[in-house]
Amino acid sequence: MPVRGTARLRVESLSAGREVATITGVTLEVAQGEVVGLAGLEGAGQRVLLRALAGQIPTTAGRVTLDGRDVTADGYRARMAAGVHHLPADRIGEGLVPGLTITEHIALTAEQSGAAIDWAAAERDAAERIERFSVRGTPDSVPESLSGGNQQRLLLALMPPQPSLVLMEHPTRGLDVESAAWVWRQLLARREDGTAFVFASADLDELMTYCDRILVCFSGRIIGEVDAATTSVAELGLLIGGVTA
Amino acid sequence: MITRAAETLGTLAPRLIAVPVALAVGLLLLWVADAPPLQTLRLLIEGSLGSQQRIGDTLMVWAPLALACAALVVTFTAGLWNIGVEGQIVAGAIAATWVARELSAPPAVVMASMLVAGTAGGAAWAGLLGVLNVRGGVHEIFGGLGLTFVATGAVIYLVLGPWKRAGVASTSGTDLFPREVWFPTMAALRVSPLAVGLGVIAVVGVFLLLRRTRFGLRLRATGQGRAAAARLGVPTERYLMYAFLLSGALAGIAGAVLVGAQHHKLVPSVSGGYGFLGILVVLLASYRIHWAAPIALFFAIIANGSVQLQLRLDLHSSLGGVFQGVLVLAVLLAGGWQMRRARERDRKAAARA
Repeated sequence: MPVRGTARLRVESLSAGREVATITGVTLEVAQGEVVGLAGLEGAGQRVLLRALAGQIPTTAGRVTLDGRDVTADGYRARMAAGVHHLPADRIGEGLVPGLTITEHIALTAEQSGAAIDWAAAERDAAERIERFSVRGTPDSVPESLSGGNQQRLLLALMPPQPSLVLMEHPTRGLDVESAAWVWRQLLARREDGTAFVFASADLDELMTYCDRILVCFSGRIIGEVDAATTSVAELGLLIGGVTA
Repeated sequence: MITRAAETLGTLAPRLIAVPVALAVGLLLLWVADAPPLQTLRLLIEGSLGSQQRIGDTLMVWAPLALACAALVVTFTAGLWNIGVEGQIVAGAIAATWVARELSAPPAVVMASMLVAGTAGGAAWAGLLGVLNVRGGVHEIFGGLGLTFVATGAVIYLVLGPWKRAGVASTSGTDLFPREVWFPTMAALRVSPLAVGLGVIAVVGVFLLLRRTRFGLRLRATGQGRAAAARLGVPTERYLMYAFLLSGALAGIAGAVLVGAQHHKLVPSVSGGYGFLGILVVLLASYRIHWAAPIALFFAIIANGSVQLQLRLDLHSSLGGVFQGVLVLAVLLAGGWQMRRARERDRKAAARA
């Protein structure tokens, strides 16, 4: 069983974003090892919420605490250092750098010291992670030559070993069933260490299968919360459409 | 290793084909201009490599050009079109001239200070462009061109105004620097080892920086996918600024070399287009410094040799520039054709899948 300790993430009356892409007054709490899904129509606020939590969009009001520490004012890199990891929906545009090989991605994300890169070590590391994450490629492969599933595997391979909070946008969109199941096995294995997950998905089955709780976004607010184990597609569908009664 | 070499050859092949194509077009131009093609080629080579001194002159063209190329490779790597490199060379030249005129110290100290001032001047001019670009959202091409105009205007103002020669204001430049602060040259070759050495150091340094260091990798990541690089933790805005500053510093050294080793004074056309020529060289080299260095030498040979065309064949020396332009155009066309073919191949492969 995953660790269910104290609150990993606490969000109080959070508002963020600009113009139409905003969220208003979002309050939520995520425990260690918990998986929380965000359901809603495209543009209902899931993406803005995830990015505000990742520190990529400045908050305009409210408070975000991570493991009891106030991180509201922290930007993306500070939150990254605090253990927040963000997996964007756009794997090539935002997740991986086109033209850089897998080895170069490893070297870019590795916590090595010193100005010079140890390419031999980076290549060994790349080969090892390619094997462990079953990426169909070589250390010299560039991400644009990989399939969507293998790009997602590479993104998982680049994840730090023990993130405290993983924020994901459509983690398995475009993947075949087998790849999707594999990705989730990899992710959920990290719950043992207390890693918490918040993810947005348009796939209701995915939400109901892998979440503990599902929060439904509508028009930049969270209008409902359901238990993933007991909810139905019909109940979720109505909430997504904004029907709360 | 072998596959990588084959890949490199594969990407370079169309560009290599472009060279004879450009040569053919160049010869056609010569034929139209009623010049004997073979003799013209011979004069080009002789004019730039025919004697020790001419080799020296060619190297003295290569040095600032190589520095400009090194500067441009840094910014291109970060995904920036630093057209303003010409202005940064000029800013470096102004700063170095100021030191040469104002600082009274032992010659070695003055020369070292000229280099430091040139570096700082170029970096400051590029830093201004960086702030406009990164903070102000001004496109670096427009900002760079604007700042180049300002720098060029400033040189003319200084030459005709505050730094004019005693009694005369002439566009031929300021007074010559005191002879003891001219960068030392090897008399027989007319070469300043310092200038050529700085060119070599810049080329090797930029190569190692981009290939071997974390800084270089982050710069490449920023250039190739800014959003993804930022998500992977690269402070991309800071790296864009670093790229501008480093590029400007290298260009500024080129400016210091031009006034210290070549003109020995500030002249209105102090750079004479090294920055723009560098863009052509770097485009030709696919933004790779190890290709840019020999191509810069080739351009220096053409530039120097074409002076002979004017003297001996009464052809205008700008013909050399025309040939350089045709070469770049041919290579860019070859590159475009290659990309189109690759896209079509991908489309066909996707259709099959």
